[in-house]
Amino acid sequence: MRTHQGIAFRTAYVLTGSAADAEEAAQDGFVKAYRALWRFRAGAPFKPWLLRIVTNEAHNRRRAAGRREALALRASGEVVSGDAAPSPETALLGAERREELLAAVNRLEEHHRQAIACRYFLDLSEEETAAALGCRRGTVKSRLARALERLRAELGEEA
Amino acid sequence: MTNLDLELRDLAPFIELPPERDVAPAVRARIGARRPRPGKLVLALALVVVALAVAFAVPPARSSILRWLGFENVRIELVDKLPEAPVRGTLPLGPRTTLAQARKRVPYDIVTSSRLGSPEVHVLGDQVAFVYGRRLTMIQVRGRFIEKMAGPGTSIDPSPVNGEPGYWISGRPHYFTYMDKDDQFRQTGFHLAGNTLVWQHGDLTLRIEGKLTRTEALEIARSFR
Repeated sequence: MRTHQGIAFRTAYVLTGSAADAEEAAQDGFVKAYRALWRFRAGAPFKPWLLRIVTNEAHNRRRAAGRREALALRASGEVVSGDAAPSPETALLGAERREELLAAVNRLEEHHRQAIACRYFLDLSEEETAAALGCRRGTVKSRLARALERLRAELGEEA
Repeated sequence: MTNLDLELRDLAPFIELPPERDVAPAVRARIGARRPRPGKLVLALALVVVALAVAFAVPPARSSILRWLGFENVRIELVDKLPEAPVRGTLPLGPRTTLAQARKRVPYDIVTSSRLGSPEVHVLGDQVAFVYGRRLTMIQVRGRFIEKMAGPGTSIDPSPVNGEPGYWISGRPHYFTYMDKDDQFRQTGFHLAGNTLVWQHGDLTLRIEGKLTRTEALEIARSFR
């Protein structure tokens, strides 16, 4: 359970925009998954199965809450990394670009924003993203393509 | 991969995500506290706490729990290796009695099978055991939390019985333990179990152990009503 609770919580957070809702969704999802374990098909990938249950809880809360918090950058703008620190100019440019990019992501329609967040920010596979969003893999592909198109348009870039 | 793809991936570590919450304790408490009967909430929680103590306090080399499965009062853990805990030989079944006496002693309707002839009947607390010669033992109990621990070489397959959840545990022997309750909880130690079918039957947990194939076990299980 501890193997999966991190990703379950983060995915629920991305979908609900609320840590409290995400925690409740993860908790309810795990309890439901536990009770449904006997229906889990042996040999099938476990993570998408679990994510589908947890995110279903998250979607329900999202609908109930209405409003969500937008994704934000870490306050410090720093990230733990083994890389050498960039020069102040590079760091500043990087920070501005990240602000711009995330603002554009936040302006996307909800289902596009969620697809981008699951695939790129949470590093879920296509199958896992499909499970998290409750749609088919084909739909994930088309949503991502459309979302990237919109982002490029927002950022004034060519494909 | 386009520049935008790469930029989005690079953005990931800068996204503010709230610190991860450990929901495991709450989940375990809720699983253990399911459908509490009046006055039994404390009991259910205590059972889970004891079960966790067993699961996580197995000296000397603690096994890693790879995955767990279960339903209601059954928990099956898949571990990378079985703990080096003392194993007791025979499972305590309690004194022998008659079916009529057993019916008076336990607070639930005992399920029986008309297919298997008359078994030896044993009662231990709320647990009733039917022993059919050396080949087969069927045990039923209500509300007690039982736990099985399986290492490599043991396979666990979902095997519903009469539409209710069940697991067929086969291959190498696995550990079996349960929480005894005589107004207090105590660990009764690990027992080695062979092929076992464990399933839910209403609010009872039933299991059969013996020299059986899965098909035979399922046929027998379905005959218990």
